[in-house]
Amino acid sequence: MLRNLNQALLPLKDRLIPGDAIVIISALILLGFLYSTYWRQAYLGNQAAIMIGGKHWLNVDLFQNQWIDVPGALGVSKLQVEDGKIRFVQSPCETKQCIYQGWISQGGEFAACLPNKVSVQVLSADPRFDSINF
Amino acid sequence: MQTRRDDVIVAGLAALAITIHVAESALPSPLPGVKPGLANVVTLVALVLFGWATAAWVAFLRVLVGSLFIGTFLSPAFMLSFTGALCSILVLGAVGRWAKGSGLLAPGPVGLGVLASMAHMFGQFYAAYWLFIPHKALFHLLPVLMTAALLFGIISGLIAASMINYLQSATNQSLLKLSR
Repeated sequence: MLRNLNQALLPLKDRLIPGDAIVIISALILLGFLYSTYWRQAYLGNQAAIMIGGKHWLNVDLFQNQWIDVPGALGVSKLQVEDGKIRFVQSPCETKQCIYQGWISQGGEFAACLPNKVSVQVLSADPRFDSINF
Repeated sequence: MQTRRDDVIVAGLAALAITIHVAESALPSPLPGVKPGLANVVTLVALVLFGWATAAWVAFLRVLVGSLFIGTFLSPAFMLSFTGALCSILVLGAVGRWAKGSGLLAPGPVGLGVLASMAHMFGQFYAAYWLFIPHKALFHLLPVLMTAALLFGIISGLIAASMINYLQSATNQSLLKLSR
């Protein structure tokens, strides 16, 4: 019995065949892909999601300085992106609440123009706020 | 209904797998969903020595009876375990068929073990995501869980390779005669 058991414990090299190496290498590639996809955002988290009428419209990189025209229900809302922040600059609404809100940059922060049905939320893997009320 | 030889083999292997499953459930786990999955060894042995149908029987009997013993039948843990086993056995079926044809590049027990454990983890993860925690933050766990699956897949594959070798060489006369 013991002799048989010794014989059964194959040396490591006999237990691995080329096909196994292919599987393990592809598994490692998959892991690399998973880590780069799901862990990169945790450190950057510098994106904002723009929504129109509650539906997702566009994700923007907050470190790519730009102006964005968002076609809302009443007209075009102008948004400015600069150095990790985003704000409403022009809006066809009457109260201009969205513009007075100013820059938003923290994960979870939210700015919205309700009449025009345009909203922006800063995305982050670890949002500082779930919601903010005024 | 007569009991056939295959039934005896399935019953024996399933009993072995269930024992390992129950013993393993007593071990503490660092993360929910992570455990060595050594019962997978028995599925691999069944697949290589007796074919896919036997392996599928062993895997599902293990999940079913194992959950009855531990007391998790139809609980979330059972759902995850079941989905994982389903994915893993489907992947083994697909790859096993392909592996038979192409000689040199076909995966052995270790490759099959890795495929099985990663498929199990994937299925289990998506079941958890769809059924219980539909929150995107869950995906940050996925890389870690899959890394654990790879490691444990390699380990159980290495064990299965030895076990298959043992069964093939030492019990050539008795056991393999039983299995056609």
